[in-house]
Amino acid sequence: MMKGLLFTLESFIAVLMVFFIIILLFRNPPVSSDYKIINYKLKAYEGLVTLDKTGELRKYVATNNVTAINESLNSYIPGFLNRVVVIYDDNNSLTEEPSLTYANDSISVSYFLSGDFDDYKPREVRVFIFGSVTSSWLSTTNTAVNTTAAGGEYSSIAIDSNDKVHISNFESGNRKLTYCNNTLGTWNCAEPDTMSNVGKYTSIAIDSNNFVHISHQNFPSAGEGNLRYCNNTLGYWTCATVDTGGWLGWHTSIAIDSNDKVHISHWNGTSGGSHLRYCNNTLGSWTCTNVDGFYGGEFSSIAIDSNNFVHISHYNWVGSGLRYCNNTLGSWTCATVAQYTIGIYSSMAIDSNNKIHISSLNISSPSYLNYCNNTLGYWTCTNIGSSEGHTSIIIDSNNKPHISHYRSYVGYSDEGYINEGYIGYCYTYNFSTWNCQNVSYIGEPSETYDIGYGRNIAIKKGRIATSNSFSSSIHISYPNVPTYDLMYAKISKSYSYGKL
Amino acid sequence: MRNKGQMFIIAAVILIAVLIILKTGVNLPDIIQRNRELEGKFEHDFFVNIVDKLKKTIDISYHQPSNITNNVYNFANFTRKKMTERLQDFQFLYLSCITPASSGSDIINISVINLLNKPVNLTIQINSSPTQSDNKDNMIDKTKWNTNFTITQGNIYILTVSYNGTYEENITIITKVNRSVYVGFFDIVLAGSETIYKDKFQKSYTLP
Repeated sequence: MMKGLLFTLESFIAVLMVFFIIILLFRNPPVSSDYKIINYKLKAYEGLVTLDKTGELRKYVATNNVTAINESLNSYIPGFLNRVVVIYDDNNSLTEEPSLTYANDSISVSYFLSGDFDDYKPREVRVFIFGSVTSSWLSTTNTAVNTTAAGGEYSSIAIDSNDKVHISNFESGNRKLTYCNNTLGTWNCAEPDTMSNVGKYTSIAIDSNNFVHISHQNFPSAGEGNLRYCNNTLGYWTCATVDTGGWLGWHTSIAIDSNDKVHISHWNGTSGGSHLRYCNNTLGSWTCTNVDGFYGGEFSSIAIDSNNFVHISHYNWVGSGLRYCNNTLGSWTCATVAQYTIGIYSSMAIDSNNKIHISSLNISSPSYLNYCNNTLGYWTCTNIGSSEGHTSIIIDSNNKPHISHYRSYVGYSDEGYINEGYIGYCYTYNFSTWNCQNVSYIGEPSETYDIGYGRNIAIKKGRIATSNSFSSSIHISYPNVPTYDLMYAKISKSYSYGKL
Repeated sequence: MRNKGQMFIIAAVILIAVLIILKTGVNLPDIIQRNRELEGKFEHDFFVNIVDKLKKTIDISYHQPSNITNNVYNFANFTRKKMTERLQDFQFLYLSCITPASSGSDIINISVINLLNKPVNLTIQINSSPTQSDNKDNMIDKTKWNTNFTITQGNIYILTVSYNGTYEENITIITKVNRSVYVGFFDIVLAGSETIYKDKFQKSYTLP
């Protein structure tokens, strides 16, 4: 009886299996995945044609605006796929290429444009489409750049349009300003300023012609300091004293506007005359002025927005904390961003929407790396992780912040007393979760030398592709310990790709 | 047979496997064919892009007629370079005819671009009275060559371009009195994965 029932049940299951499979096969006939892939290509091409017909594609290509091109393809390519738009001229990619290889499951679609780019030079727009990508900032290379006379203090770093790295730094052993670059493939260093006792608090910037501009401090005697400025726009270095009359030139920060005019903020640390100072050469000669009230100006950081207005963050140690000033209304207006404990080692950057992002140290106990922005129209600040300061911030072309800073571990462990310093690096894709890691162990820090207040993290402006998945490398300069050699770290992403 | 029920299930699994294999096999030629069609459409669209932009090059160069040949050369050479990177063969022959506006110097300037991936023995002939012709032996790939003929403005001419004894094309040129006229002839070949795409066209403008 039982056997018969089991037999009937098993037979019934077998019939059901066949029945369902037949239905599935004929309702959803097998389709080649190649259909799907070729359809992605056709849709991407259709998107480019449509954009070209509106005249927008030509405009975007003329300005290498791959972000706008990518956004215009939103309605053509499924959102779960990743894509990167790259613009090519005859020989090179003008925007960043994804790190794809032929082994990756990816496709690309090309569209050619002729005419009116740099005297009728044609362009190719190529859309790379690929599956999900997981990435992480992992691969770090560290290189000794200047091993002379403790040359790693107060370093500042910038990247030119050819992806070459430029670093200004202070050789404390020689009390000299030093400038190093890798434009010839290897690191070479020079001394731009022949004056004695120069080079503290350097800040470096690159203009539209890849000429280098450096601000720094001349410190002839205790209690006396001057703001110095050097450039190599004539093919050789020329330097000048820009601001004098006290103990000036602290914590300099330099920026170049779209007219290649130079703007510098620094601190007048004269006892009883503490002030944020701002200098520019927009009228051909240097003019300097006080900005904000007394006691402000330490750890200043300057940036220029897309309208050539000037923005400065700094720290006021008498009650105010992190301060922010701009001249967008024609004259200077300043406000407190965050109270007293926040603002030391401030570093500021501006995104493509002219919103402000500031990193600094929160000296609460324990001390934190702090990050503020006004992207919502008002200031919001958050503590990211443990830090000892020396922060530097940059914004990528996705308007996402990247911050370098100094971390140390001091105390007792199982191995006894430890005092270890690291260069740390943090980034976020969503402003809620921060990813932080140690870039380099820099040894046991001492009180003798300082890491510096400069902008020592850099990324090539505008060269990060629109997808979160791709980015240029992050470049950081820092001092080693105990020799205080100038070191350079390059952090690159590692990727793993999903299927289309 | 103690496990007759299980035998049914095993038989069902085998039957399902056979059905799936049969179904896929039956669809496979359709899938390949459809895929080829879609690939072909994509390549054709791409070819149309190249042709359109060559025409656009002429449109954009309208106010600088002296630059037309260089601009066409730049775009065509750019295109061929990009096609070569994709292991696709792109061949291009271009001939431009421009008659200057001023009377008294009734000539027609001819420029030829060879992007045919091979050297050619080129002959240009115009049916003027008497007939005039010029030739360029061993015109190597990626080069431009210029010549000119005497004409009478206001007449209609047939210009014949031929090379290697295997190619001949006639181009009609309608000249105008005291007006500068441009006539461009384009012969484009793009070898796709399955199909060879070809286009020949002529563009004519009365120049400013």
